[in-house]
Amino acid sequence: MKRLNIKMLRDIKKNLSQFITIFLMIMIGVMAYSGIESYMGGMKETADKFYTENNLQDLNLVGENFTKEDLENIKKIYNVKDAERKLSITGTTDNDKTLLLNFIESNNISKFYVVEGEEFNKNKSGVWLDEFYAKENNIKLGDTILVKYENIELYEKVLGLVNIPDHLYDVRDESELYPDRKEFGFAYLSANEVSSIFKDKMFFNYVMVDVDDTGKTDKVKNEIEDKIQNAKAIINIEDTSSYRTYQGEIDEGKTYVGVFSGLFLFIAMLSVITTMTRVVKNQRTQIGTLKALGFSNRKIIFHYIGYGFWISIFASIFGLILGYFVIGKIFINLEMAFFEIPNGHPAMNSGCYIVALLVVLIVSFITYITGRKILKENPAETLRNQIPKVNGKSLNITTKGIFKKLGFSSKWNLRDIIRNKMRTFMGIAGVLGCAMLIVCALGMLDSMNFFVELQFEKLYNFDYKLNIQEYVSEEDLNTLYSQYGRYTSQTLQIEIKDEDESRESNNIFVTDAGDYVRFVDRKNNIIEKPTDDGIYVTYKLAENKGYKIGDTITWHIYGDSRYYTSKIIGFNKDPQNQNVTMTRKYLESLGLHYKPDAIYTNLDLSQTKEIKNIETIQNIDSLKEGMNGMLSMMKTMLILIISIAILLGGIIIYNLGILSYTEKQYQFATLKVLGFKDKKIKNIFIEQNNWIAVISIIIGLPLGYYLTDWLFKTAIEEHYDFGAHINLLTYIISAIGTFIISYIVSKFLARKIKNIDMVSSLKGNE
Amino acid sequence: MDKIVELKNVSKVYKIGESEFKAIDNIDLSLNKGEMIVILGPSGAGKSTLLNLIGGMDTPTSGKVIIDGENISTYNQNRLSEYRAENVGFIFQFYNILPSLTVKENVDIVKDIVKNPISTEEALKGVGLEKHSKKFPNQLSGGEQQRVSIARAIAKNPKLLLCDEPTGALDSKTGVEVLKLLRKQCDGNNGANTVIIVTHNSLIADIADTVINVKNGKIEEIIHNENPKEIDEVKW
Repeated sequence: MKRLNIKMLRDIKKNLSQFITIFLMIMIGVMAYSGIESYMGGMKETADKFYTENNLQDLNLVGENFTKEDLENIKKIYNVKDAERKLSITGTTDNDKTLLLNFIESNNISKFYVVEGEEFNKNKSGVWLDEFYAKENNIKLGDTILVKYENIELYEKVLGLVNIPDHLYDVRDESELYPDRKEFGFAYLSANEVSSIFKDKMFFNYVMVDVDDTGKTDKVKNEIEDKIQNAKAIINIEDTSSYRTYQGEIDEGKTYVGVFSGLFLFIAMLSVITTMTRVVKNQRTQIGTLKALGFSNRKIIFHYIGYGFWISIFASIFGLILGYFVIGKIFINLEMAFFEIPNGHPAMNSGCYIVALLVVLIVSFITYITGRKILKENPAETLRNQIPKVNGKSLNITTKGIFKKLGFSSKWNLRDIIRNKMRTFMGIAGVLGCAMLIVCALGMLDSMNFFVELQFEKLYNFDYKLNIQEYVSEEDLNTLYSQYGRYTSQTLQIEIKDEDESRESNNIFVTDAGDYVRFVDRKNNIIEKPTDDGIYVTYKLAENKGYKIGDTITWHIYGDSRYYTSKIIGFNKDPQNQNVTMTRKYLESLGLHYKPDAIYTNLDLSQTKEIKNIETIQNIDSLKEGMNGMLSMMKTMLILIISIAILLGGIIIYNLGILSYTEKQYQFATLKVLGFKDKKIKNIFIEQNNWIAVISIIIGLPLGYYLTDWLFKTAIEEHYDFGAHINLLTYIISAIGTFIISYIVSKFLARKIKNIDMVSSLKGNE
Repeated sequence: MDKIVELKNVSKVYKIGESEFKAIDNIDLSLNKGEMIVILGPSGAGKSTLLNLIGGMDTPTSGKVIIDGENISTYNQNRLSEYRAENVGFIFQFYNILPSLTVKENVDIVKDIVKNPISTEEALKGVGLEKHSKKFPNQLSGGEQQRVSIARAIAKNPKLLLCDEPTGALDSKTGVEVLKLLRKQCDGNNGANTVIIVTHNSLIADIADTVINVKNGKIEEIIHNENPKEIDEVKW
């Protein structure tokens, strides 16, 4: 087999550009797939490891004051492994930053990962700060910071910079979408630091519970509900924003990213299969020669499988390596700048290896099938040049109707397409796929921008949102009303009880904000005046739960065991929250007290830094910035995906161009012999490629829209409700971009026509 | 004389769409070992089909093809491959040498399939190409390429050397050189090698021991030359 191996290497060298494109297509396909998969795998593995090693809690108990006895009783519940109390309050610093202050007695549940400094010690005086906040504010280990809560001021030395399992991500309040690490952070201190100040008024408002069997969490939850009167709300860790957002990122990525990587691989494989088939077919007479010499079919087939096998195995290995180290690392690093979690790393799962192996098997199988087909013929047959089968009838179309009037080059191209349907089909599939991916990636950017506009231009019709402090008297509220107006809202954390008695967390937005906070229907038209006789639910929530207008839902507010049943009177669309909305009047009709937590105003507060009884002042622009910030990571990923799409598209178009050129070389040589000028032949060649590009674009653009819409509707996190909103400009850019790539490649290949040696081209085909 | 090839009631029918085409029509033929045999006939007469049947490159629709006492028409593809590898050397009109291998490697390749090949050096020397062994086919003239093809065929030391229009693509001078090489194969090796040449060039007939005229898939006549001409005597 030595000589045959030399032959293979030389054949590859001889057709280097074709083999390089095959190599690149497989490599990029596998790279995109394994890179994206290892990014998603890494997200999961990193979190799982952190959660397990640092003992993330299963339940959070919220109350006003949990006593030592409560803690002991919780620990006694069967299946409870451990429980810890904490006092969690919102404090500030000397430069008006917000810090969530946590005073703890021990640190065995949701244990810190110490990035720098020392482990938690109850007897030590000082503060453990979250790493991102410290970095953003240039706070170093050993620095002393001031933390304030009401009248208490504590000067604390920074003892550690830490990551905390239940705070990978957190925002100051619901309306903030993107964590602002410079303005909001977490600080952990020993409970001893305040117990001497609070003395007998010392309280713990949180208990973290670790359950030994996650399957028993609901049972434990019910038991706590029965036994611990102080527990006003019991929240599963899965319902906390940090856990949910991170998990959402994984779930969302899994689908949309899977679709992209799958498509890349599919398009690449289509092109590789076409090329590999042609490569083997071009060796037809050599196969015949080997047969005539007496080589067994087995030897010949192994020789040809080698072409596909070696190229695909090397390309797949490179693809896996680049996928992990380039795509995987870039994506993970983007995520790790957003989520505060240690040791983020991509993780290749077995699926990647299986896909890479499948690619090798498919390519080898294709070479096997093509080779076998030729080998099945008699060697005498194989040695004859294969005359392309032409169905005279199918060419008849070019002699009838409007086709009759076509010029020579159009007729020639039309017949060439009819004769080479498969090659044309593959060409269209390749270019179409690329056009579709470009539309989809750019379209996702458009759609996100559209929803930012919808949220902040249409739904939010205020300049400032003032978040009212939790404990505010009626008198203080009236003072605020008189200064900033009476347009207010309240958000209630609720649990909805389904028919099967299962309960799910959600929230009710109670509006008394008039035109300052608006609602839209499915078609983005403003719902003029929400009525006061029931509740509105968002479309997506309704779809997920199967709610219809006229249905009722049963709910209770956290901390209040009374259940209410409300009738659904309408649907509204909310791009970022799938919840329930009701008017203040309806809330009060249920006998509930309306206690606003936000005031909306259009007053100019640009110079106002602090307002009494107001926790935070939020400007609409900074909220919008927050949303854009959140989307920026997605945008970076999409830009990377677009780049791969363009690269892959270019290679596929080039590869199919080479194929089509090689196959037409003989005919072009004949045309040259007949006296056709190079320019005319070049135009014939470019014309066909242009047709293919135009057809692909026409089909690819709408498919791109449907792909985007599908991705947004099914793949994106549950609490978002996006749909495709693609600008005309995106279609134009995608169409022109795809066409230009195709045209440049055609032009580049057409240059070769000048160098066709008529004699050897024609002889070579004898 | 020993028979090397015996054809009994051999027919080869090709199906083209709905119709049938008889390329070989019920032929009986026997050929002697160690002779140079020329099969003559116009295009489409069935010469190449006959050669392919003898070489195990094609199978008959009916009849027996017996080579050196073995009926190869019952062989499956694998046995046919073995038969070709051990017994037959092919020389084609368009050389069919592997373009990505050098002259030496093209001849060397038979070592992968034949148990007792003659040395590559000897084969190349025999065709006068020993100095070109490192060249690639595209660096050679047509005559030189055909000589590589002959070297490859004789390196197998085959019982049968089957040549399909071996001079068809060559000028007359080079053609003569090639024919001399083929004659040498017949005359040397104690008559162990038989050379069968298919051609439509009737001039070549004069140098053969046996001439078979084929027309419309049938054998028209068989001529045995008692005194075949020397190749240099033939006027082209």
